[in-house]
Amino acid sequence: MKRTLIVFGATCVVAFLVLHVLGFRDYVSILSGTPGPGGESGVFAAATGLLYAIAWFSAVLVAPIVFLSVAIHSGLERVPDRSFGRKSRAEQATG
Amino acid sequence: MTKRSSLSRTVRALLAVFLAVAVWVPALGAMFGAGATEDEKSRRAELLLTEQLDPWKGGDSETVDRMRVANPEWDFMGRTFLVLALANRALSFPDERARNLSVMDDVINATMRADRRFGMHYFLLPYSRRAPFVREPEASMFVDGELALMIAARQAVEPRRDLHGELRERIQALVEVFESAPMMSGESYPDECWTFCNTTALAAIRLSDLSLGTDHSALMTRWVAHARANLLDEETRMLISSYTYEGEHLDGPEGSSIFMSATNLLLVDPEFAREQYDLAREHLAKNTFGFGYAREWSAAFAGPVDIDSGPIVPIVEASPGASGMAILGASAFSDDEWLRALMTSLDFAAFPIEDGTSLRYAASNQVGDAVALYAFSFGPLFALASEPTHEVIAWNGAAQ
Repeated sequence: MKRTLIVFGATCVVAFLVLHVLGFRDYVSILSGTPGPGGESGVFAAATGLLYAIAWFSAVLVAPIVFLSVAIHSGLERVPDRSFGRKSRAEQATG
Repeated sequence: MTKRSSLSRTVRALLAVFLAVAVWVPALGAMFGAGATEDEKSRRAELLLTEQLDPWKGGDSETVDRMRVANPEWDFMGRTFLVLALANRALSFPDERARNLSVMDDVINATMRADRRFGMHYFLLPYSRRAPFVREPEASMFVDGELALMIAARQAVEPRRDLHGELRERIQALVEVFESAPMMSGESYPDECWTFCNTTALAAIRLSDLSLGTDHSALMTRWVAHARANLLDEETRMLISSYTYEGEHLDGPEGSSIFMSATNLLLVDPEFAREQYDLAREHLAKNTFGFGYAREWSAAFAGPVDIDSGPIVPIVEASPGASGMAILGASAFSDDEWLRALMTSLDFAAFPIEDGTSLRYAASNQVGDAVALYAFSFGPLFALASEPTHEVIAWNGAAQ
């Protein structure tokens, strides 16, 4: 599960970088109802603008939170189970 | 897996996410945190101006054409905010004065030509033709008020002889509307009066006193008294955004109007202006982990989403249109704390494209950037008009 989450976060970052390098930043003008570069206002422009915006927020907001969550979760796993309302295995064995 | 072990895994996971959000979001706010110092505002204004000047240097008209496709009003308002910003910078930076006045003239002359050639509907949305205006002959306070403000600003900085008569006629026409209309307001669209447009016209009248040597303070006082009695939302006491010619309330207070209205009112009645800004701040302003934004409607009024509000961001109910105008309001009323937060949001969510010589916000458009430019340069023009004593520079250039 952690591996999946890390891959997901990394994919968000890479996807944004690819869209940025392809020069799709200008298409986000569609968010203000303004046609994109060259006056494009069709499905491609809208989809591209929306995709770039989603990729940006995924890369700078979602992905870091995912990475931090995985790291924090790894740390929390070292905390005894009793802290989360569950007996440790040793306690379960002795009853 | 037992029920209790599943619960502890769930608790761990939720706690991890909660802590990650609690750490990262404020950190993000700090990373994108902007200073609202005069130097930073001036720096941004200078960069924004470079981009704004392009269409008027015979360069890129595509930006304006693209905007007109979405909303011809934006083309017109973009010109107004650009002229006002140029006026402010001409007063602040003597080395820019000649260039700025020249561009102001290009914008004003082109706008007057378009108005004369194509009529007011050229700058209005298509629904301006769906019904006749109540008042005859038809005239749009949106167009007439902003055009008068542009000319008044030009004359306040350095009067042009050929504009003196033009301004006087336009101001007289506006005053006639205010004096004779039942709500002391003119229509911007058929049977639609907007406080945004009417306060802009009042600001134009007040500003024109500088160059015309007139005094419309009595009209200002009467309008404010009338507005207090007839144009305030019952619950929030903020100015409503639109009403019919006879005074029926249409839309309640909205973010994309109230901040500009409050700013305009600084020239009309500073105390009333401050009241309106403080109320807008109270009901519409938000600041989440250092990210500032504005709502389009208060919690008490669920209004429509339109082209001026922009798409509303769900959950947080942030309006790009209202937030953009809030930057102007925060700057005009020296609300540095909220201005900082708004600028942080601008840098994070408006996709700035800066190359060292120019700046624009990709998620915005020419009018949005022009509002930001006006906000970051705000001050000198209104200060000039607010001085208790000033030289009235008549059209012949002689101080009176």
